[in-house]
Amino acid sequence: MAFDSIEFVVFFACTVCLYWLLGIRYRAQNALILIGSYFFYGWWDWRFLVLIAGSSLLDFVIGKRLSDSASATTNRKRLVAISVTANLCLLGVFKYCNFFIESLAQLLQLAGIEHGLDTLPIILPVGISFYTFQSMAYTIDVYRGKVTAETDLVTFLAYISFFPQLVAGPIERAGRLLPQFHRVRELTDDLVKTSVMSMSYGFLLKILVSNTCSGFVSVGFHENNVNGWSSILAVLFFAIQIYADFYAYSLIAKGAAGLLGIQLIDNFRQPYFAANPSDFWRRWHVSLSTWLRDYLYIPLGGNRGSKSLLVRNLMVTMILGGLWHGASWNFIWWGVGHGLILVLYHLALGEQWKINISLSRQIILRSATLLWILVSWWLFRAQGDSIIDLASRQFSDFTLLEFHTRFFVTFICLLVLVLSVDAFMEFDREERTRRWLNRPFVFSTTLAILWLISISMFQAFETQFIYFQF
Amino acid sequence: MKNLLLILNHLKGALILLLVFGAVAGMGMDGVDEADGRLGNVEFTVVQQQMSQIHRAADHDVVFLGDSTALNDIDARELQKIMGQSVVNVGVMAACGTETINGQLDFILHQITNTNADHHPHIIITINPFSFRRLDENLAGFARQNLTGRLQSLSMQRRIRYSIRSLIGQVLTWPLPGSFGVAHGDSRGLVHAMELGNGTFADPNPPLHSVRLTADAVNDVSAIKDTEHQLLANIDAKIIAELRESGCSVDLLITPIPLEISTRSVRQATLSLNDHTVNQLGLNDWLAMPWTMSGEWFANQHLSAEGRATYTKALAIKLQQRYSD
Repeated sequence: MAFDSIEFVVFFACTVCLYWLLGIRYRAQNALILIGSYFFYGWWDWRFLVLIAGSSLLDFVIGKRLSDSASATTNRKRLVAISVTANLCLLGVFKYCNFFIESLAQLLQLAGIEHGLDTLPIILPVGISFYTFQSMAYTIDVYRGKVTAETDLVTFLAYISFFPQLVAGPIERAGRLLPQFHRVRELTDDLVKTSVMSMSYGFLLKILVSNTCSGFVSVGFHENNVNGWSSILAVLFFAIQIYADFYAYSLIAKGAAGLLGIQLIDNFRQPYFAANPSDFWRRWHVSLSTWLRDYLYIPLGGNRGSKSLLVRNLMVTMILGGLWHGASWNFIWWGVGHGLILVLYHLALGEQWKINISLSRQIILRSATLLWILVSWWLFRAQGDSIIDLASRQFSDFTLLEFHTRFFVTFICLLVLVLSVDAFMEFDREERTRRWLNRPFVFSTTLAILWLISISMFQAFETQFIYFQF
Repeated sequence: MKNLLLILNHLKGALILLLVFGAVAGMGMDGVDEADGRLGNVEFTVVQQQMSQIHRAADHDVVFLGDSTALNDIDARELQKIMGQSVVNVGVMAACGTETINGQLDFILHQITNTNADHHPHIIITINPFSFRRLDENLAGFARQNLTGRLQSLSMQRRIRYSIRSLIGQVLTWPLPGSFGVAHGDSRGLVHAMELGNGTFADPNPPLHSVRLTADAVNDVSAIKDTEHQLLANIDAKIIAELRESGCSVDLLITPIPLEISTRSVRQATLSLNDHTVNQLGLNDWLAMPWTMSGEWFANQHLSAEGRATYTKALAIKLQQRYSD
């Protein structure tokens, strides 16, 4: 069930009503979350429920065993290895199996070896990368002693399957989310207002901005397109689309969770205002980048040790980060590109580019970062195509067509809409905007306008949330 | 309960305002409707543009109407250049149904009879043997509304929705899907192309190998024979007769199908249909143009740009001969 559907609106309204009718009985509320989340997830395909339930149960049992065997280090290592292996196997089979088969078949073909390799009829379960990472992080945290093992099965299953963030994150840590399931939830004026506003702005971003952009992106990436300007515009639109789409999901998730009295982390912090490549990853898909930092980059050695180790750690982290997004070579190249840019930033640029940086250097660095991000989005969107073939086709003709101006104007309008809201959040240090929005009339009018536009544009162009496929 | 009331309390103001704005909950949750005409949709854009042109159709020397082959298989601007007569196409697509073609013919008839003008255009009904009555109610309804006066029949809710979308559409544009988006960008781009082509434009899809066409089309042979479901066989003979009485010439142009699918049974079925239609409409014959062409000249079910140019030249010669008689 997608957030931008009538079914979800009805489902969510019913869930919220039932949830708060349960009053302070938070265990019953957890059970309701579990039932609701499984219903929400099973709406796509009930068979997916077997996977999520199996994966969650395994990690619940392993978590308990880990807390029981506090002193036996070997046994604990073995247990956490089982959890990590099982989760990675789940991803390997359902997400990467066909990619590996296809790549092997291509390799054998290149080598002139005959083969009978064929892909398997596997459906990629929605959101599998998100919940397996969340579940895996739990056992690792229990192993590291950062969180205590969950003893209540219902609460644990509700934590893993919590519907607002189940299919596209944010990937929540047990240490942050589980304690919230163990206490009586209360709503405050501020939480209700920010949650309702988050959801409403999220719907607007999805319905108006992201869905509109998707059409322009399809034009530029269409197999018949050979016009370079259409392709450049498509990349620009994709930069807005992917941000608006994923940010919209995160906002709706945060808002929906907030109305259930549960707070999720901010997954985005105005990423296009990033000062440098490293800063971008502190702002974009924060829950994944911190996951990769804590469970991959730092265990590999992080930035401690020699320069060559740093290069290795950055490249491994970013390539695996790329592969996390999808089983396709373009995601690997996307990861390689980001890894190389981070290496360049950390090693090639001197300290004068990082501390007390001058205004001109700030401008150069911000512009270069933004330019690289755009190039990287082209790699990201080039799914299913050979990068070289795509580039030679997409940029073979640079005739300016009369509709390009209209496309560009639409791009600027959508960009201004998205970035102006971001700019308020980035630069409004005194939070004047929030105080202004706290005025009842301003709040209600803003909401009504957001709803009116969303309802008017509803179903005009329907596209699935991009991150659902990951 | 307290928390639920808190949520409702915060939503109350916005809900009241929404009602004040007139955007009640029932407002247009029913997918694409007639008001969405130019929202990145090829068919609705074509219908709207062609219906806006029909008001001046009777002023031209040659008027084409019919299914999408009238739009894509003929270059009306090129015909005009070759023939030295003004040529326009107001044809839409098969999904608009025979009722739309009959409505357009009736509209032209009224224009001619109401103005009592001496000018009597040559009308050419252009239809492909594979155009069946696969009516799209939304599109046909939209065509009807455009023929009779656009928004009058829209409900209040749809008008509000249409107004908001139009307002947004003043600033933003929406691309057309697929090859149409690549070639024309948006609705305005397509309209521009149609204006340049006097109501026609080349199918933007790349030429297809005829084999790909064959598989889908051959199965339709039985449907050609079924005149009940044929677009061509259901044109109103009475309007045709009245048009001819008013001084207009009315011709039937059967547009080409790929040679590769023209099996014996297809040929027989098509010829029989043509004869049936010619007799029913009281015409002497259909325009003797080749109704098969090699599959290489096709892009999807229409002629490709090259095929269209070749066909147009041949048609120009045929029409010059016919109208000089």
